[in-house]
Amino acid sequence: MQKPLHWREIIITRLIQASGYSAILFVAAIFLFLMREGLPALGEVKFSDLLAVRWYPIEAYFGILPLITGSLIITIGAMLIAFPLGIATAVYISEIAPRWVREILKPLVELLAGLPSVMLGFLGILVVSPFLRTALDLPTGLSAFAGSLLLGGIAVPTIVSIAEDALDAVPRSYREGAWALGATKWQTIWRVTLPAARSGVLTAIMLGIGRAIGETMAVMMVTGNAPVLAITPGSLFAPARTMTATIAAEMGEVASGSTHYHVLFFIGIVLFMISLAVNIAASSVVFRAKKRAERILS
Amino acid sequence: MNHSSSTRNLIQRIGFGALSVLAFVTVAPIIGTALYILWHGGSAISWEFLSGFPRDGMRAGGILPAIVGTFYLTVGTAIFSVPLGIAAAIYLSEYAPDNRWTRLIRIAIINLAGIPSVVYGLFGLGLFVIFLKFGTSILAASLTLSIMTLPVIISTSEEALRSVPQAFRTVSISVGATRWQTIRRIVLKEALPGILTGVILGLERAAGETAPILFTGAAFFLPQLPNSHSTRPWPCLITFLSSRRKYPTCRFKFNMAPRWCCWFLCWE
Repeated sequence: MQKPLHWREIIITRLIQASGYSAILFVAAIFLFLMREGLPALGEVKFSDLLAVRWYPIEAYFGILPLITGSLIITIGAMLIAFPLGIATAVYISEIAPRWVREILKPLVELLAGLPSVMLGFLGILVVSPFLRTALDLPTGLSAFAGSLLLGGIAVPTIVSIAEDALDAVPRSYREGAWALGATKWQTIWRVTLPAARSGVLTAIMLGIGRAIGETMAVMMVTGNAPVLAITPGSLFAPARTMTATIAAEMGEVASGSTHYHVLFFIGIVLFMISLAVNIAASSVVFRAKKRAERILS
Repeated sequence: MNHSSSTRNLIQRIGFGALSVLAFVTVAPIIGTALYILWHGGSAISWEFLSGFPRDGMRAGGILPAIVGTFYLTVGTAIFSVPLGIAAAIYLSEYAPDNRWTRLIRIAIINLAGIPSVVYGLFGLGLFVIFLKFGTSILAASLTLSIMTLPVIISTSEEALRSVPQAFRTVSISVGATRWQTIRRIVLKEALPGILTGVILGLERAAGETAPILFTGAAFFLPQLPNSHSTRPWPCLITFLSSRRKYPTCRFKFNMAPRWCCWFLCWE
């Protein structure tokens, strides 16, 4: 081989390698810049004040607790809706549905995954929240529950596609073994297939949670954005405000470098940490399951 | 298995029924959404609406600047994220050894995919707008969005590259091609359809995102076409939609939704 080609080869290899490592660089850069802009908040506001229950930045009350509880209650509500629907749909698609139904259902679910969340939020304002107001007789339909409904819809496609992959990956021989022992199809699904796909289903739920807690525009549009502490189940039907919506709504109007600005970045750090924890937990579940499978097969 | 066979059949029938009902409950709102949008917004689409400029404080007129803004943004995102994403995918599938560093890269990609979009917005604001002094611009917004789309492009492209049979590589190298020649002329060519899917999925995500560009490059109202790549703020379909609260005239805003629908149907 001629020399110039050889050099080119080395340079290209290095470039490709650098691109591979860039993913680590980006995560680190995101972390660094959040820290750079958000940590000063700890110097300007006492930590105990940050954990207070009053969020009213104009008068320098920076208690982020109502925002955290708002995010939590909306996410919990969303999961209560998305978990049964998502898993049931995944089981239906992968185990029960006849072929033609499957061919229709899968693209539909993918279509839902592709809809921009602003559009869902827009429909939420026009359809979901007026409906909730009249159906549940609430003072306003813009409530945490409306947010949960929309977030449920946003998390469902994630849960369905990952859970369905997991169910598909269960070897056919497991099912055949169960049938040979006289189990019905239903018993096979319930006691063999689902337990075998357990880790994938768990990952699906965790990533669904991650998707729901990080969603911004749709929740901002339908939850009413009142920063009140949400700790009783009843507050699911009252207006609430999430961390993401707070950042999106207030960042545009804040002077860069002010305390309010730093606190908004601090909320960003909290969100970043939550998504980091959820994703690392989700991938370690997969990793452990893979290890176990290798041990059994070897 | 202590039930009689008829009870077991009954349970199965009830269970299957329940599952199909739940599956239907999942897809019904999707169909409903699509019909609702087409019903209410379909009539509003006209050439004048698509090609006009907004007038009367966005209460009337068309959405051309928003379409152009979205187009610039998507192209800008593609310029940064497609080469980088494909190169990273090539590294992971063709070069990377199975060691701790590679695992770290994978964990980093999973985390990039999971970071909330509004946090990307904060990051873009901190790094591109303020630290690198790009200002709120197409450049800053595109860079932010390209980092956000990177994980989608990398993981889909890697799948596509991995699905190319190993024998193709072996044969190519045995006739004297170098590793890069093999990748460029054989593997990439074979994996191209899969890679394109990844690129489209990623850009679709970029074109539909709102939160990250709120602080990095969006203008609510712009009566002309955006004409400078780095200094002038530009409007965007998406921000039109989300600015709804400031301009509560619903009729005009409503027209945005079907436009999106067409957009996405074209993509899929």
